[in-house]
Amino acid sequence: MFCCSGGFRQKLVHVTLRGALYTSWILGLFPFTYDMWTRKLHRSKWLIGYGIVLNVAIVTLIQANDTEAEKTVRMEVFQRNPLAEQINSVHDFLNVSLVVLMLLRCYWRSGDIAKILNELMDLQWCHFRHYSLNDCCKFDDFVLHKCLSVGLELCSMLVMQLGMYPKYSLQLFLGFIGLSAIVLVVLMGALHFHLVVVYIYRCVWMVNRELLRFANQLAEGETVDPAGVDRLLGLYSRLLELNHRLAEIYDYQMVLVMVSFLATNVLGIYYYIIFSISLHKDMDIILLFIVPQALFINMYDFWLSIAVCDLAERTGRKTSTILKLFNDIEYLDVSLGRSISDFALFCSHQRLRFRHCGLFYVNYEMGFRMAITSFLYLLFLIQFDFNNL
Amino acid sequence: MNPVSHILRLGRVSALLAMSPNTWVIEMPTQKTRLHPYPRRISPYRTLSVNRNAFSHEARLPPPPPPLPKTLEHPVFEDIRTIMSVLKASGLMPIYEQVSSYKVGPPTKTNEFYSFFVRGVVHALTIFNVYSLFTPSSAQLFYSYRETDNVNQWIELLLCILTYTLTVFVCARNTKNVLRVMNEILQLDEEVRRQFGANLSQNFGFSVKYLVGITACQTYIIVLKIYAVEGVITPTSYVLLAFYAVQNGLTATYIVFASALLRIVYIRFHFINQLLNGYTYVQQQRRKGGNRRTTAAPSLMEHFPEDSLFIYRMHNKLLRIYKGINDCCNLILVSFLGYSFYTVTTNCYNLFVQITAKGMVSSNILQWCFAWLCMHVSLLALLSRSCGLTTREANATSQILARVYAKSKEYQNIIDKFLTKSIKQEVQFTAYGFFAIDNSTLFKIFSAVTTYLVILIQFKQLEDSKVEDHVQEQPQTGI
Repeated sequence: MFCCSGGFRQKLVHVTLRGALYTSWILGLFPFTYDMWTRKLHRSKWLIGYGIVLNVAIVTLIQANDTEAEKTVRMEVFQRNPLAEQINSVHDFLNVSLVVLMLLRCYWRSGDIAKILNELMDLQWCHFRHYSLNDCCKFDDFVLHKCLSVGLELCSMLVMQLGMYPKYSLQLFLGFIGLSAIVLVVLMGALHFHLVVVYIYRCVWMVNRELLRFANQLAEGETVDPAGVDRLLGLYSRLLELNHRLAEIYDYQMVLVMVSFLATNVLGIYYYIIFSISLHKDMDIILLFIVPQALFINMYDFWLSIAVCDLAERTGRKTSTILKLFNDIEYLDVSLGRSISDFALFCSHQRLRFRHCGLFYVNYEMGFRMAITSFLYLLFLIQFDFNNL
Repeated sequence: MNPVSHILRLGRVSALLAMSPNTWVIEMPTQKTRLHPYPRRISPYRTLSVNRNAFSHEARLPPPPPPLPKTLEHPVFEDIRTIMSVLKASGLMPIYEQVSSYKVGPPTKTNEFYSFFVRGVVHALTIFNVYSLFTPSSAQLFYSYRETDNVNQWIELLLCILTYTLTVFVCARNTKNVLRVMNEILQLDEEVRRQFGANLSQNFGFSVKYLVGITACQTYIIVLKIYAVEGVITPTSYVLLAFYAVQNGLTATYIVFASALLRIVYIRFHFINQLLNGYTYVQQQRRKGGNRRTTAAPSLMEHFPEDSLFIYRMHNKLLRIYKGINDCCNLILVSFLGYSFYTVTTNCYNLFVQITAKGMVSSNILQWCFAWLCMHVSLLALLSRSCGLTTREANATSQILARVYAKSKEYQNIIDKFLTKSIKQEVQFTAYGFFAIDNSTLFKIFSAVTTYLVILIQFKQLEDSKVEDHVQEQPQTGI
């Protein structure tokens, strides 16, 4: 499924991707089998069944070993501030619905996901196989960063559990395992979307590189076959269509994941304020390290999910910029000029953008607005319950 | 290969191509040619082109040897030399070497070491200041009556330090990029001079005025602060204050420099837009005169194909320069705007508190707030205006071309080439992609300041009511 070539970096990416694939299979989040001969993914009902059984078992395990309510830190915060407890229960409900939605959408739309993945693999194999992929550093960066963030999220959870809970027991251990598994399901679901976006980005990046090569050739006085530009336009339109279908499948999940990240951050800072200011606690390891690291890793993960969409969007915009380079070619073949104009018009009217649920485009601008809004909500929350602080 | 490096390579290739037919006659006009974009010029393609019958009369001219510009000593970017020397001295700009009138080279080892040394000193001072901020040694600087004000000032200082440190880091990292952008601007100037004999320069008096204003403001603020502190001021506090003023001043200077660079780009965009406007001008005059609609005079349009190619190429290059400047100051702009926003908000809040407090109005704090507000508001206005002007001019090219479209059927294909690639492709100067910086930014910042001001005032009221409740409860419980 994944091609491996090049130096250490590429090998690391390859290992990371394989690791992500096997983890998804184990968690029952990737209900497909790979046929080496036809190079196609096939939906497997057995794997779907396995996934459902496994995840129900994990939820039961968490229910049976719930030690959260006994946490002293938590109880202190909730006794001091009842509003925090109410908000926390809403947040818990949001998280549970996120897990259910993530799994249901994954199984329900697995046929469409398989089609998208097959088409992407087909594109890679038929059209982009011959190009060198080693120069696409951003692809490697984003794959590694995302997988690192998933790992860090798990570590952060472990630190939170062990650091804030004074008594270690088997029940705690089992509860933690279940909780980690369920968090991993959500994170891996988001990771799948991230990886497909990064793959689409790489294809668009290669289309851009080809277009630049054509522009260079023309500037040097060489000729370019218009069919080459038409072929690139065909690939570009297929990639955009794939992107559109992908965003449609993952929109509810990604919106909920983003809301969950933001809510966690806002609530985390809110609890931190209650804990440090209202309860007049001294600066100990919990305040200085455990809570800030969890917040930081959450923000990092949230920002990665924004940055990957922005990267793809910027690369799409770059296509239009590259097409402008054909403007000052003095003797442009009529058919080539027409092909370039077609491409330019296509780029003007259809862009590589990620719009979730028709609500908002995901890019840096939106990420910034989300960050500002969550800060405002934090202020409102503090103001709303100022007398209790 | 990385697409960016491809773009760069292509830039080089196209620049080489542009320079290859060295048959242009250099004219050195005395007046600003920008206002008269039709100096005499000779087709750069006449020796190569076989299809250009329109220029056959020019082909009779003997091809003159390419005379090289004789102004090697002419310093580059003379218009903004004051601000650049300040930035060079503070290590924020590389002390480049001038290779020719249209090229700058990397700094020499000694100069590079100097910049490196200055940056090292700055970082050392930053560490010292952060240490002083976190220890009681700087406590005397935060003397205010209210605890919240002290915290606000403390955060303001920390933000200033952060912004300046980030500026120094980003400038150090972007040394090569800044030089590349400067070389691209110079290269473009050279091409414009060769093609049209135009010397693109403008009076950048605003940069010097801003420099003087920033210095005066910072000095005034420091004097106010020194007068306000009670008792003998310790050397640590002096260092903290002096470095704080220098940091503020240099960050502000960098913003003025970025604005000046944007103005430079604006002038170039304006020049090519004026060139294109020339092709629409005659017809507009005729319409105004009430004459019947006529097709464009062939003598006017005959230069259009070659000029359009030149303009398209210039436009692409200018867009790349514009993008390059944006990439160089992205992070600095974000942090400056954040810092500026915070300062404006806290100072507005302080003013509000001072004005509403009965019998506690301190003229020192009022002056302090006004000085800060003046400085930051003027800087924000300058930045947003420069960005807005340049962006508007960059986007105006397609609008002007659309007006040329109806003039002649013959050249519609040439215009189509540009227009099809400009549909919904408006450029923007952004702060790291978070938001576009133009005139609307000023409005957005002030609406945000108002919102946060209201929230702060609400907090103050809540705080006061809580204190009152506490005071009322105490006697009752005492009884």
